[in-house]
Amino acid sequence: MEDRYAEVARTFGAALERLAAGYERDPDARRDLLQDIHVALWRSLARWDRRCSLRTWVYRVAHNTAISRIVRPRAAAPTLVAMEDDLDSVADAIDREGSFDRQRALDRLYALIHRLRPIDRQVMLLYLEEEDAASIAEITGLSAANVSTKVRRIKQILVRQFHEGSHHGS
Amino acid sequence: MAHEDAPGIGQMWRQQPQAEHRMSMEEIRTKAKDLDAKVKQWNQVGGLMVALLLVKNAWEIWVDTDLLERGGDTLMFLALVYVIYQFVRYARAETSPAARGQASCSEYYRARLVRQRDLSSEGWKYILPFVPGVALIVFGRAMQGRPAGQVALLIVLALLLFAAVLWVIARRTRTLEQEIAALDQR
Repeated sequence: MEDRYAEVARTFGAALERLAAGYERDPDARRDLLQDIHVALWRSLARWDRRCSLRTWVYRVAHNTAISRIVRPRAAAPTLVAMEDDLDSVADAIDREGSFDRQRALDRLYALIHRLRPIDRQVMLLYLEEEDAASIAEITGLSAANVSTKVRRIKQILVRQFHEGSHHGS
Repeated sequence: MAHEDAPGIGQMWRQQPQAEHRMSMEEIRTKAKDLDAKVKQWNQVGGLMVALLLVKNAWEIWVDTDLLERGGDTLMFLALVYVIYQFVRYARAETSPAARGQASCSEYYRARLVRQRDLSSEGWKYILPFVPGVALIVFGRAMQGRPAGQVALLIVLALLLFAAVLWVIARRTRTLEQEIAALDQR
């Protein structure tokens, strides 16, 4: 089991750090969450029954641990549709006179992610990790059609903003 | 799902600077032990608080001379035992790390919300058992010839306390139900 955990830590370590950052703003709280995720993974891997892929298992344990720890129900949290306008501001930080203000764009992207409802946040984080729609559906339990709609919405928003940002800069 | 149309965002996300926080196996084991110890410590503190409350109530039953007040104290004691039992039952239903891998994110999140909603919507179960005890104590004091104003104030305070708790419970239940409904629409 320890070998399997070592493999998971090696393969998903960086993605899990980004995932933790998607839930916790504060660096100390983020480190605590990341440690909780690693402990939960280490404990859970002995029970991995191969009914889903290791990748799916890892992301489920990680997201569900994060949800257990930090998420409280927030009826007023914005949906992906409602955040479309907010995402405009991400574009403002991108590609000014040919340069890419990464840190500012990242800060804004994180700010938006932190405001999302849990499931939308999970879809967004998985999309940013380049998971395909089928994987996101398996991890989140949403229907493939639903995930495709959400992903298309995220993609359209990001692509439009990115291209608009590039055009402004060129 | 390559971000072929938006390489900037995808690359920016995945290439962001990171702390490279790695945990050795020894650190994992230590952290797991720490978490277990923390849970054990919380259980011990909770157990101690409960024991103190039970001792305090038992003491009141012992020292009260008035029969009605003694009856009220006994009912309060029994209500406390019942509420503790309900909380222990709720706490034991916490999921294991393996369940986090078996359930999809939406199933897991929904289950947590439903669990919280059920605890919240059944809040009256935690309030109602105390009503007979409080009522009997107030009645007993009234029978002892305490000033009517004092008894009335006691009744008003008790009613306000119950009403405030029920209002908070109802509000929380409503928020949880809205969140569950939003989840079910997806």
